[in-house]
Amino acid sequence: MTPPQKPKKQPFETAQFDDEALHGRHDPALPVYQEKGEPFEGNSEMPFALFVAVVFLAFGMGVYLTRYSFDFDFFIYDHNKHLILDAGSIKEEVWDPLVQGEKIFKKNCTQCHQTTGLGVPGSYPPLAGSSWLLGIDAIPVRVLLKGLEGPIEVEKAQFNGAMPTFGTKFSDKQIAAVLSYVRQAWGNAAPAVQEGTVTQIRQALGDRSRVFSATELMSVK
Amino acid sequence: MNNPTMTLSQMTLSQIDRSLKGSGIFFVSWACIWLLVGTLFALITSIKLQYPPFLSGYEWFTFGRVRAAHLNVVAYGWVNNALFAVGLWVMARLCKSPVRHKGMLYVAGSFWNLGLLLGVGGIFMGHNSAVEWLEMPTYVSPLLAVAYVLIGAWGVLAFWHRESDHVYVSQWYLLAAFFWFPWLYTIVQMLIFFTPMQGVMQSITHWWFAHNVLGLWMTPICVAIVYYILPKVLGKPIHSYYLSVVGFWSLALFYNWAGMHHLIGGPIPVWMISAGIVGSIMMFVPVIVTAINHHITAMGSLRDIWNSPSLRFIVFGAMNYTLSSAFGSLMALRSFNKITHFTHFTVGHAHHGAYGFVTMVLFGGIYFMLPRLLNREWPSAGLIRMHFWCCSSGIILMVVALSIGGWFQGLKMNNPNIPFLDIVRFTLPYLHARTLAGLLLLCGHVAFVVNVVWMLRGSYVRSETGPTLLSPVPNSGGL
Repeated sequence: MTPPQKPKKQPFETAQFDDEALHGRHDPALPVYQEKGEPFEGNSEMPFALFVAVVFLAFGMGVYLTRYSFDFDFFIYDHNKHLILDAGSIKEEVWDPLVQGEKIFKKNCTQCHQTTGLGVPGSYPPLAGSSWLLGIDAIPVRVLLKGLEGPIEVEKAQFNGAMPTFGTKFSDKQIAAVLSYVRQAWGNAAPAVQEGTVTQIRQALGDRSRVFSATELMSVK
Repeated sequence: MNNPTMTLSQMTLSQIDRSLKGSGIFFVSWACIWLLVGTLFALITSIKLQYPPFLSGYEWFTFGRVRAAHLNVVAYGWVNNALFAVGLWVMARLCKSPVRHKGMLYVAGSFWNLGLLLGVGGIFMGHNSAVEWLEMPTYVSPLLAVAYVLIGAWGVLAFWHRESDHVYVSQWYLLAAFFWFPWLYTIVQMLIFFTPMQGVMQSITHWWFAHNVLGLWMTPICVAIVYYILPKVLGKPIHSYYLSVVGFWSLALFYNWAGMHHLIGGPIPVWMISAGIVGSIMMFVPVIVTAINHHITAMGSLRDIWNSPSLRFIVFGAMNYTLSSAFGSLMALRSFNKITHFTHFTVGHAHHGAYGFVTMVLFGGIYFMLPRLLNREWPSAGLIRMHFWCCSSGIILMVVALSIGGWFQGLKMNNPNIPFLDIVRFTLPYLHARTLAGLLLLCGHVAFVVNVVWMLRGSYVRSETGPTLLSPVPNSGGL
C-alpha cells in the first residue's frame, strides 16, 4: 500500500485553473475515460438441460399445489387435513368436568394453592385434605362465587389472607368442574359438585357484594 | 471538444454523472452515517443476547427497542439510501439521459432521512409498533411514503426520457422495483395501521410485505447493479439475453408469493401456505438462471475481478445471492421449516441475504459510482482491502455460526425432554461468535467510511494516475 500524499494547498486567488478544471471536464486519466463501453447482452440460447430442469420443477410444484391446496378452501388449516373449520361438521366436544377442571385450576389457582394442592405454609391454605373443601359442597361453592377474607383455621394452621371472587369470571359449569377436580385430586375423595348446585346457590346469594368470612361460612348448612 | 479522445457516449456519461453528483453524495453520506449507527445498535443487541444485564438499566436501550432500531436503521437508512444513489445512477446511465428536475431528489432524500430520524427516535421512546420491519411509529410513515413515491416517480421519469434504443436487463429490474416498492409500502401501511384489517389477515399482509422488501425492492435493484457493473468492468457482453428474460419474469412471478412461508404452522388457510411454498421453491428458477448468466459472463476473468474493488464485492455478493436464495427455498419446505423456524438459523439467513448479498453488492456499486461522480480516485487501496477482508470474513463467520447453532437449537427445541434453559445455554458460543463477527464488520465499515470521507474531502490524492486497483498487476483499464 502506497502512503497517500497530500496535495499542495494553494490560496484561491493564486490557484491555477485551466479550462478543463473550470468546466469540470474529464481528464483522460479519470474514470470515465478508463471505462469500457456500456454493457449489452449476448444471444446465447438457454441450455436445453436447464429448460428441462425448469419444466420438471414447475410440474413437480404443480403436483404439490394440487395435492395441498384443497380446492383453495378457506376452512382447511393444515396439510394433513386434521384441522378443518366447518360449522356443519364440528363435533360437540365432550365436557369432562375433571379434565376441564384441571385446566381451569392450573390456569387460575396454582399461583397460591400450588400444583401440589398444599398451598404455602403461613400464607396460602392447603386444598389437599382440607375439611373446609371436602365437607358439604355449599361452602366451597360460596367461597368461589363471592370470595373469602380474614382469619381462618385450616387443619390446625392459622391463615389470614384473601381469596378473590371468581363468580363473575366463571360459569356455573366451570365452577362445578374446578371444584369437582380439587375435591378428587391429591388423594381427596369428596363427591363431585353438580352444576345445578352452583346455579341454585348463585341465585340464593343474588347480588350480594360482601365477601365471606370464616365464621359466616361455619353457619352454612 | 478539447479532448479528441472523448467520444460522444463518454460525453453523455460524463454529463449524467455530473447531473447526479450532488444527490449521489447526499444519499451516500447519509448511507454511511446510518451504516455506522446501525452497526453500533447491532453490536448492542448482540451483546445483550449473550449478557442480558448489558445496558439494561436504561429504558431506551432495552432489547425490544435496540433490535428494532438496528433493523430499521440498516434496512431503511443504510440499504435504502445506498439503493437510491446507485439504483438511480445506473438507471440514468443506461437511459443515456441526464437527470431532469434534480431538486426533487433532494426533497425526497430530506423527507426520507428526516422521517427516519424521527422514526428511530420514536422507536427509542417506545412508540414502536409490534410489526417487524414496520416498527417505526405511524406518524413518520407519510414522510417515508412521500419519499418513496418521489424516488419511484423519478426513476420512472428517467426511463420515460430515455434516449437509448435498447432496454437493457438492468433497466427492467430497476423500473419494476421503482413501481413495486411504493405500492408495497403504501398498501401495507393502509391495511395494517390506517384502516386495519381483521385478525390473521394482518399477519398475511405483514409477511407479504416483509419478505417483499427483500424480494421486490432490494433484490431487483441489486441484481440490476450486478447486471450493469459486471459486464461493464470486464468489457464483455452478458452471456445470454434469453436467460435474463427468464430470470426477470420468473422473479416477478414467484417472489411475491414467497412471504407466506413465514406463517407455516400458523392459523391461516393451508392453501395460502402451500402456494407460498410453491413460490419459494420456484424461486430456484430465477436464482439459478441469473447465477448461470453471471457465472458464464465472469468466467475467465478471475484476475480482473480480484483486482477491481467493485467487482470483488459484487461477485462476492452475487455468489451469496445464489447461496442464500437456495437456503431460503429449502427453509420454505415444511419438514425443514419445522426445525429452523424460531431459531437463530433464520437470523443467520436474514443476514446472509441482506448483508452477504445486498450490502456487499451496494459496497461494490459505490466503489464504482463514487469516482465517476467526483472525478476522483479512491484514496487508499489498503483500506478497500481491509474493508473487503473484514466484511467478507465477518459475514461468513456470522452466517456459519448462526446456521449451525440455529440448526441444533431447532432440533433440541423439537425434543420436549430438553429443558428450555439448557438450549439457551447451548446457543451461547454461537452468539459469542456473532458478536465477534459484528466487530469484524464494524472494522470493515470504519475502513469504508474513512475512505469515503477522505475521498469527499479530497484531502488525499494517490500518486499514480489511473484507477485504484487492489493489485499491482497492470490492468487493461476499468475499475
